Amino acid sequence: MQRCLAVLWSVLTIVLAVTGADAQPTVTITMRLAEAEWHVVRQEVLPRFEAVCNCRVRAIDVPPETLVQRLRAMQQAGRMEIDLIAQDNMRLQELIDTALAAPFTPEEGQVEEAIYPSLMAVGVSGGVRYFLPFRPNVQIAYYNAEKFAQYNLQPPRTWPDLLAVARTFYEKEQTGRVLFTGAGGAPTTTQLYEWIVAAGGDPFDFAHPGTVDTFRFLAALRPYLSSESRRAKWNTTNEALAQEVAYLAQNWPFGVPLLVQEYGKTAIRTYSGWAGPVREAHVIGGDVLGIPAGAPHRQLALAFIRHLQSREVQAIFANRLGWPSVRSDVAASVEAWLQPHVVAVGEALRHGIFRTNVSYWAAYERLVDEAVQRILWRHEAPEQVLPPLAARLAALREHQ
Amino acid sequence: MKAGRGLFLTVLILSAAGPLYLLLKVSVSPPAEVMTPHPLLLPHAVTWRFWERVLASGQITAPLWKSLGVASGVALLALTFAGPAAYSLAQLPVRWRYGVLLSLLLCRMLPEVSVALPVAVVFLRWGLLDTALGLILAHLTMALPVAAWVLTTTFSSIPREVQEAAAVDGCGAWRTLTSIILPLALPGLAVCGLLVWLLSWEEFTLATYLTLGAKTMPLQVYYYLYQGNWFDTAVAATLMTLPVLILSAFLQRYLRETSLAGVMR
Amino acid sequence: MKHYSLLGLAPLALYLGVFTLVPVVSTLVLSFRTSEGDWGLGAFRALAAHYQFGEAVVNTLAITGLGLVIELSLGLAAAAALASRFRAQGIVRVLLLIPLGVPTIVAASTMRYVFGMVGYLNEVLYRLGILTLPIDWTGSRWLAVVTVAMADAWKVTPLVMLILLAGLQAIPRELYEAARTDGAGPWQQFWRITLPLLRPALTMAFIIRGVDAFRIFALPLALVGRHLPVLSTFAYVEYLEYGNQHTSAASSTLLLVMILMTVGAYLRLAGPEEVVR
Repeated sequence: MQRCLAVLWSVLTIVLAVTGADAQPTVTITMRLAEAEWHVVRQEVLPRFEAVCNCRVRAIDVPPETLVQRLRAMQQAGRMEIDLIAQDNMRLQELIDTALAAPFTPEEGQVEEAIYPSLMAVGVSGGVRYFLPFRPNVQIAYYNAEKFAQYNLQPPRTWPDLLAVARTFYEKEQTGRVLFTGAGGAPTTTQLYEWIVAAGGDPFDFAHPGTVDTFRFLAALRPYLSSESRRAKWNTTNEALAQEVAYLAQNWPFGVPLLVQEYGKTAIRTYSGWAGPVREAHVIGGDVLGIPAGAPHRQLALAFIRHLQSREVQAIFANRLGWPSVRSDVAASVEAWLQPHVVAVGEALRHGIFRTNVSYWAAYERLVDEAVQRILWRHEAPEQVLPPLAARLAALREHQ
Repeated sequence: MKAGRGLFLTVLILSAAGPLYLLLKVSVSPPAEVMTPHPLLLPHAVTWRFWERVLASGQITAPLWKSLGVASGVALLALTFAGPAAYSLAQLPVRWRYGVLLSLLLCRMLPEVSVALPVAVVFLRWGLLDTALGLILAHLTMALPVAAWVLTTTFSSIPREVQEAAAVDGCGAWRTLTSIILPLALPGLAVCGLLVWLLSWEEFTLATYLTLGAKTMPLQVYYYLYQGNWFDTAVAATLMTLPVLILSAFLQRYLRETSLAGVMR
Repeated sequence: MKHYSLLGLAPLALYLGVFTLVPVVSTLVLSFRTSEGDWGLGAFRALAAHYQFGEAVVNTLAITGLGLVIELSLGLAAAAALASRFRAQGIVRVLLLIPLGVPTIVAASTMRYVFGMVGYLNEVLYRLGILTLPIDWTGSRWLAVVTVAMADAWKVTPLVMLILLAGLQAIPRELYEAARTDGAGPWQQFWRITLPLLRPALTMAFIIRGVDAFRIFALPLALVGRHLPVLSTFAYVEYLEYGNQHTSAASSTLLLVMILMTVGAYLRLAGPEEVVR
């Protein structure tokens, strides 16, 4: 009996010790990164800041969809526990509308000269700045140079080229080798956005002829797409390229260090991608930095923003993760093996477009999901699928 | 006939253990062996690079300890609280017993999402976000019905004559319990403890709601699955399976079907 | 003793009562309201109109049914193979129980390595000369259903095997000997002796597995993603990604009803006295 109680007590003590928190001042930041990116942030970026700020940084991974819910819950409880957020530049309107993001004063909103002015356009609403630049991001096209050479193909530069390449691979290998990011959610919506703009369409109007053309092209492409497209998102795309399941795919540049350095796939090259019927367009994504209203350590959060925008840290991001930089003075310090990919990214950024920030983005993603699912994976005709969805989308726009 | 059975059992063993072997193999393989259209089945080269990286990342020790602490806490508390209740239930007439048990299982008939949210909201209001205590209490809501079921069947399989004989010999209720009933029920208690421990160890949905920064192992594996690379996921998954294998090896002798027969009947 | 019994039950009953009643009641209530706040079948009507809901129901039934068939037959075969004594019996049993302890999320990631396009199953079949091109195991809907059912069966069949083994070993040997002297062959012995006496164990296995099988969640999500909706993942996506509490709750209610109906039907067929025993 005594032994029983002793065991019970020791277990409870262990349990309570595990929950013990330490009482150092901590800055809490949230971001959404891949594990390889977190590795670099934790190993190299955070320690440099902790050394100068006399504080600890607690970094938490939060997906953009749930960030709003979490912040709102804290706001309602009257206790904001997060000091700094890095949010997808597509999900900003909800934060501004619900007063979850605190505005910056004009002095706080000043950045170093080296930061590209074009990136400062995002994060301003009604003349007030709510977000500052952190990392611009743009998708590039990855291709397997060996396989292309094997069949005497060139990386496609137009939609007809793309269809021809897809069909050639399919005929030669009896299976699709071109990947479309079809898993649903943000990856698919982002991909489709730039294809629609490249066709001269309006992503928020499913009745627009350019938009309909895009879906028609996708339906024509479907038979030659890799079946892995059903599962293709931002991380599975890298795996598909590495395992040679796909020979051509679009993805963000963070796959470059992974594929080329870690997996040793030197046959994989990049270029900016292809143009649609009207123009070449690549969505500029990435994250921006904001401070939630009521953050407990606002000054430290501001200092951390400067830290993330500093030349040293931006060079780390560029070299270790292949991230495009917010600054113009980083490109020169990029390592040699990365240079060709930097050129591809630069070219893609030249054709960069920003997605329009709308407060109904979540509902919009749902409609895109349904359209892609039904047209691509259930083989329904665009003419039948799109009109009812167009009506629902129009209703969303009106309610806005 | 014997050869047929031998072959059948060999195929079964390979199917049972094979995927785990593959998991381990992926975690120690150099990328060239795996990231190719034709991955190798047997290990040709072994690299500890990914193990070192995951262990050094500091992302594993905290979740590991947290999950261990929570699972052990849940197992102990479930046994402590469900034990006496199950003993009482075992004395009830049979229809009552099954009525109570089936209604306890009603929650298990809903998808995790529906059950997790109302339960989690209660604990969040009590300020238990990110605490082990909150997670233990939440897991208990799942563990107690299972424990009650298993322990009730255990206790009801102990013949009444044994209990009555002990009472006749002059043992008080407490002594009957500790020196007569408990040893007989030990296999059932061990099985119950293991099942409940496993339940908490792999529980995922409640942990999602009740943690912000201090993740548990299932959440960490899920994170690697969706944001990590192929190899880090294998390492994290193997790390999550090891304690289970160790614990089962310890409790191995209670998992014999003879003891289970008592539990199951 | 009587007072002690009640005392033992009270705290447990209270704690569980709250945490069992609250989710069930809250789900039921949510499913009968709409986001405008009126009562009615609005959420269910929205479900019926949803393009993926019918598919989710059929997929759930198919995966559960196929899974149960695999688990019960394979579990029975394995239990029969293990029932008689032989030398390596102990270690074989331990090895066969391994998948039971593998956490679901680990099983889901492991199955990705096995069933992926460049997975080890494809590799084994390629080496055996059965395949030239890799099969996409989660590509088409029905193949994905079979794959998910197999992956789930991998993890769960050991439990069924254990339950059935306990049941098999409870059958007295004399019955078989008597039947053999009466001239009954192995098949007849199986039909007349084994199956009827195994019914309690089969019922327990069916109930334990059936209830959980309908709720399958992590495996389809990790292996296939959104293209193979099942009721659990459907409820999940509806609530967490689209914020629709009511349709999510409505699909959960339907799942609950499906489970209750299935368990009820089985118990009626197998007879209530099996449960009582």
